Amino acid sequence: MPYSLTFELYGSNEEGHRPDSWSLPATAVEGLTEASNAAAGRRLTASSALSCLSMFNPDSAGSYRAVVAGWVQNFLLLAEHVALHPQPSAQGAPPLPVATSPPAGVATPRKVLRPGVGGGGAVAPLAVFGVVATAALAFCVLRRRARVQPGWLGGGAEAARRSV
Amino acid sequence: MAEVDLNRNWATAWRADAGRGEDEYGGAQPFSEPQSQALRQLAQQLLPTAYANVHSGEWAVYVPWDHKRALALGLPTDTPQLLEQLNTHCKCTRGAGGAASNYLAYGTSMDWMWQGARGRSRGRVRLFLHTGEWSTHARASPRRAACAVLPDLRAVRQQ
Repeated sequence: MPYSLTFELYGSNEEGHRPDSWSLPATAVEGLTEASNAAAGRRLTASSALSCLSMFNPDSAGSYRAVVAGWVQNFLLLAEHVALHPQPSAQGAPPLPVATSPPAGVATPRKVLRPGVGGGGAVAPLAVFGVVATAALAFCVLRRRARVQPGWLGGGAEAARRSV
Repeated sequence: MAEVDLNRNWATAWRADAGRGEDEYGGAQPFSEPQSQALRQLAQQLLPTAYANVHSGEWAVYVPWDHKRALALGLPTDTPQLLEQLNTHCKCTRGAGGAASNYLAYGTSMDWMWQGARGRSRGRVRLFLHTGEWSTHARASPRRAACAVLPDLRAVRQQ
């Protein structure tokens, strides 16, 4: 499968998030009921339930709608991209940034991850070399055959010239 | 309840090191759970072009690998372009899951969908969207492992 992704939709304390995009009020969580706990299938204490709710979910209707709207746009972007690239080429992806959201005020040097780190990075050049070498060898063999058997790779024309 | 983290129950880099009762318990064996079996069967039948699984706990868009700190070799060449497009809206962490989150996850669906179904797309545009897992995601913080349930969003109070 060409495209395989994970979406992490929301984190408390803006973890992984750049605060300049969506405004997420840090108000206290309210509204968690015993019924919703029961629906979730687990017995939780009120404090741990509130902690979990705020850790994984927006804490107001407004921020909830903003989060959902943003990810709906992302899903549509993904769908459009996949529609435009149903069979993308897969010749070793170029370097990607490892992490792009350092904590506020911390100047972290941007790391670059190379495909196949840990030995795999040498695979692509070796593979290219192998393909080129194999093709060159095959070409030489075929040319040699062509001299013996007229009709191979233009050998027929060469033989015809000789016969003339 | 089998108490299996469904996003640790896939065959790629599956590990048995988390025991039953732990938050990242991946099951007795890969695909031990009917939910992951069903998704695998669906993927093998439809051979989709893309797969997205949805979690919560942080802001991020990840691509393989989850189980090692490296970008999978052979990802589509337009992967960086796609991630930048997605970042237009999420403004978030993006990159290889294990490297960008600094947390390795074994037996995840993303890694299996990439490796297990590699090169098996029919070229038709099909997109899987798979939401979450049974237990909560404990990607970046052990604190999260204490939370075993993703509460119902309907509980969010209208303001």
